[in-house]
Amino acid sequence: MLPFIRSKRSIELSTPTELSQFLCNAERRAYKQALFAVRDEHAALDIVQDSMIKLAEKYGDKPVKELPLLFQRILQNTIRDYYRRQKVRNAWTTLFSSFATKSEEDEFDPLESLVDDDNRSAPPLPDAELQQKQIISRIERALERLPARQREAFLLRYWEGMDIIETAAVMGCTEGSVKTHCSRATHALAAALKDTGMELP
Amino acid sequence: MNIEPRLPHDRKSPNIDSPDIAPEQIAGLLTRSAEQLDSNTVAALRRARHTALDRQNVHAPAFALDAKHGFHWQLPHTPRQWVATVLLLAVVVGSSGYWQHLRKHEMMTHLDVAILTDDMPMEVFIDHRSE
Repeated sequence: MLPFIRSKRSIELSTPTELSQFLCNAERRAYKQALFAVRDEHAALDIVQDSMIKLAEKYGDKPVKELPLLFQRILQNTIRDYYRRQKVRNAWTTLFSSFATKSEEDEFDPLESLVDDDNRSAPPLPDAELQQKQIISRIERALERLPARQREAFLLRYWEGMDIIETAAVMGCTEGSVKTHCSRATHALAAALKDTGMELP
Repeated sequence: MNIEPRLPHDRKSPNIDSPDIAPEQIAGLLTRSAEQLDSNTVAALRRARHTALDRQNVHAPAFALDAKHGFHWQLPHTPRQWVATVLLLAVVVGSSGYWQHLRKHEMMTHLDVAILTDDMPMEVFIDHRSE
């Protein structure tokens, strides 16, 4: 094809504005996904930025419809690369960190959620917003504790809204594996929420 | 800012996936959580986005034809394109002039050879004034 003739296909390719719009819509969820995976805010930001740059540099001219799948693929690969780097970096410290005790924040005290109606000195019930924040916090903590593949499948399928085929393509596994991961993740989250005694609004 | 996730095409009923919780509810709460990110994180994400957009790979043809309004030439935009256009025109004009010069020289050579060998065609000796 002559270099100076703009093909019909190129008109369908994403423009900088469309890519910007896509990244604007996806960046917060991508950050949260990375944060659930690595549990480090700075590392999560780095992962999201690396993923955005890779998408823009290598696939910035791809059709808009392909961007979500490509971005998720890049994001998950970048998270895995981070895991690999961490594994190498922490090769000598893993042995010692296994002796560390669990932090107090991870332990949920059921007494916190008990209500004593007879006790007039008790503080007032938290408002709905605060309660919702607590539920979100519990869910996010439960998500962080999920195995990586289960969390990945659950978030891609139910949060990113991908179907099973797309999720399998991003994760590089079979559709059956995606169903299994999603089912286990859902049951694990349900069990985690039931343990805390909280109900979804 | 709209960060609503896409709906899956083949989402099952939550009761099939789990009898206890609905994944949609969890997704909704996670979306709400993402909307409530602190300003520093949002600013960092915005900077990251701009950095990425600066490096976007766009294949823009140098001499593109506008497909919407038929075929007509677009003028070069950058100085480099102007220089390339002028060079191209100079090469075309120069080549054409050189080819004309070669052709004229070849005709003169044939004529000289014919005069020297006394092999002039008969048409040369015809007096056209008598006609």
